[in-house]
Amino acid sequence: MSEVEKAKITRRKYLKYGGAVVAVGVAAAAGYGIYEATKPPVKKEIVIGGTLPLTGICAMDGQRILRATELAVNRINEEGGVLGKKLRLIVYDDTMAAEKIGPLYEKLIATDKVDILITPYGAPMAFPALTVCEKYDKIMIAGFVASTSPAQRFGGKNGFFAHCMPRPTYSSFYYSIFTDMLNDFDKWNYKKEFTLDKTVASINENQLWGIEQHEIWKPMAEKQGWNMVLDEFVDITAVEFSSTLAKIKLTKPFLILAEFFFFRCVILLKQMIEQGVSAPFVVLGEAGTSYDWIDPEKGVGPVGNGIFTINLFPKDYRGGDSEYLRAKYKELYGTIPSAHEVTGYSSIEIIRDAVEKAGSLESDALRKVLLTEEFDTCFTRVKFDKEGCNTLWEPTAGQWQNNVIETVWPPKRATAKPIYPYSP
Amino acid sequence: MAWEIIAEVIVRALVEGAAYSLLAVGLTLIFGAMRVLNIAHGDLAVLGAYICYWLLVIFHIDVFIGLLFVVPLMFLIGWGVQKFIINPAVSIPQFQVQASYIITYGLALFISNQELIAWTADYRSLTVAYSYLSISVLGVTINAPRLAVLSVTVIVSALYMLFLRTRLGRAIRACTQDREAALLMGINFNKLAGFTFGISAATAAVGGMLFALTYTLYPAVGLQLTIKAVTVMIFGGIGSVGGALAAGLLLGITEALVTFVVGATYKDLVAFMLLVIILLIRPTGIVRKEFFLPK
Repeated sequence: MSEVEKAKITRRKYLKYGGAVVAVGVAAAAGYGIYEATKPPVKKEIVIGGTLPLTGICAMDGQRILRATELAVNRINEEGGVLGKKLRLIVYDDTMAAEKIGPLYEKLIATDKVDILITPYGAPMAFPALTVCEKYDKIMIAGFVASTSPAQRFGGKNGFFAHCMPRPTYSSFYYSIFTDMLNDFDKWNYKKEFTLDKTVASINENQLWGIEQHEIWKPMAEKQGWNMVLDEFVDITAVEFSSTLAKIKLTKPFLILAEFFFFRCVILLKQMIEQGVSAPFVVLGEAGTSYDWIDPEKGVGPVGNGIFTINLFPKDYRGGDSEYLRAKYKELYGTIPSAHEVTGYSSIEIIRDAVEKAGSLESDALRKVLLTEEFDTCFTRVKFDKEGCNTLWEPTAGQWQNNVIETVWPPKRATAKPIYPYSP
Repeated sequence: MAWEIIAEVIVRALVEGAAYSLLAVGLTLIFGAMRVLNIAHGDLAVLGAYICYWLLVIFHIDVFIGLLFVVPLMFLIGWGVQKFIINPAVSIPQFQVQASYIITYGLALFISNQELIAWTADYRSLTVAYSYLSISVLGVTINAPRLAVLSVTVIVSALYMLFLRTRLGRAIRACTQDREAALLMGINFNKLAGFTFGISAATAAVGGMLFALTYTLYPAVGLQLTIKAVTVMIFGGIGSVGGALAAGLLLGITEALVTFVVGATYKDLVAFMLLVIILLIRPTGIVRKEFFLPK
């Protein structure tokens, strides 16, 4: 073979081996590319998702929860986020329509890839959301969910945690705190002309948590010797209470206990005053859920003072970010935050602390932390039991006095004495 | 004492019924004359109430004085809605009713959501200086706003009855009875339609203000008012102003007495049962004898 032919053969060899190397290199590069593409992306943020009624009948409540939730997210991000990642909040408008909840939560989980969820507003809305969360094994922190029915089915190890559901008073705290207060009337009564008369007129909205609370409270109260002189449910769309109030006027109870949405509390009190219906103690459970209560344009004005109400954000409470929330909310919105805002903000505090303690966004790790650790929030101290209810929250009874809500019960938490009888 | 309380219940029921009557009157007028079901009726009422509210809050103009401005304004809005939104949408007679549902539903959503954006979802009360002033007559206590609701309803009803005897009113009644014949008689339906819608919107605004004076105001309440107005309209007889007035009062009293005697839980059940019974016995409503549906 000539030298030329030998060289040709050598080049062919080089081309053959070189081609093989290039082919291997290309294959390796392609393989790496496929690996990178299919590898789960490293998330640069923690996504929190949920729905709220931003339009429709409960829009005021939903918008206020959202305001405070956004405030919490912004503050945490300003402080550097959680585990070095910023928080991103996605909230869809569910218009308080249960049939929209499921698809929206599917979207949040499957499309928006949220890491942790917050509940819609109210227990009836929470159920469809929790069904979806359970399917995807996601953790959900409750905002404003007062009924314990969701916790019984989905709570604790099933992924649902509600810091505004207390134990051991369980689900009747909206009612029993006031009958508890009056059961001890003789101990704290400072007006000797008044004697306790255990007669109560109870009016409730015909919806899940109102019915639930009532069903737990009523036998307790009757066992304590309370006489139900009136016990009625009204439709959630009702705005005229004249006939029911007329019956109360006939029965003259010592305690009027009404559990309505805030705006119906406004209407009810106005109609009570108009009809001359009153009692020494008047409890309108949700009169304390907004400082609009004593606003003459949005609420009842000064006649709202003297009304007893559940007190979800006692003015002396200093836990968590409560002082920041009070100051910042007032700066931004010109008013003191109340129940809805506080529960919204505190759900983000719990998420922040749980993720930090778990060091992970994995549901199992979060669940373990939520079931074992304590949390300090602007709403209350939190320790979840196995059903995801809070064993550390002690509800307090409030009363509107001088345009603020004073804590009047239990005595160890009281910031003022109860004022009675109610006189508009 | 008990009879005084029952008398108060009935008086307040009349007030509640009066507010619903007023809302239903405008609705029945346009459905009777124009075959248009205005689902935005309640939202127009709410819009009128909001304007009264802001006049009160910003300029401290009493709500009844504010009506002097609101009524003509809402008339113009109603006229404009009919001319530019309803009229083009219902140009094909055989689809008129269906088209009116869709276009007015869209209008309802538009109005309520614009209110939400502009004025937030916060609940508002029309609280005036005399909101808590009560008057006692023969042992029956009624507060000033409720007395005003009754008085205004009586006045507006009287005005309606007078109006229906005018040339324009007779033209509207003619269209309600037989539109084709009315057109053949030379009635200019297009002009009439705008005017009728304007009157309806103005009446709705008065009803909305009275509702807000007694209860509360927020953007989403419009649809509830429409539903109530439709119920009263059907109950009273479609196209019958007198029927709407009577039906509203009757429904108010029925609901109040049922609540007082049986309980609040049964209020809506009985109201709708009554509606079903009336429709079975007298499908044209409690007042109107006959109603011709478009072919």
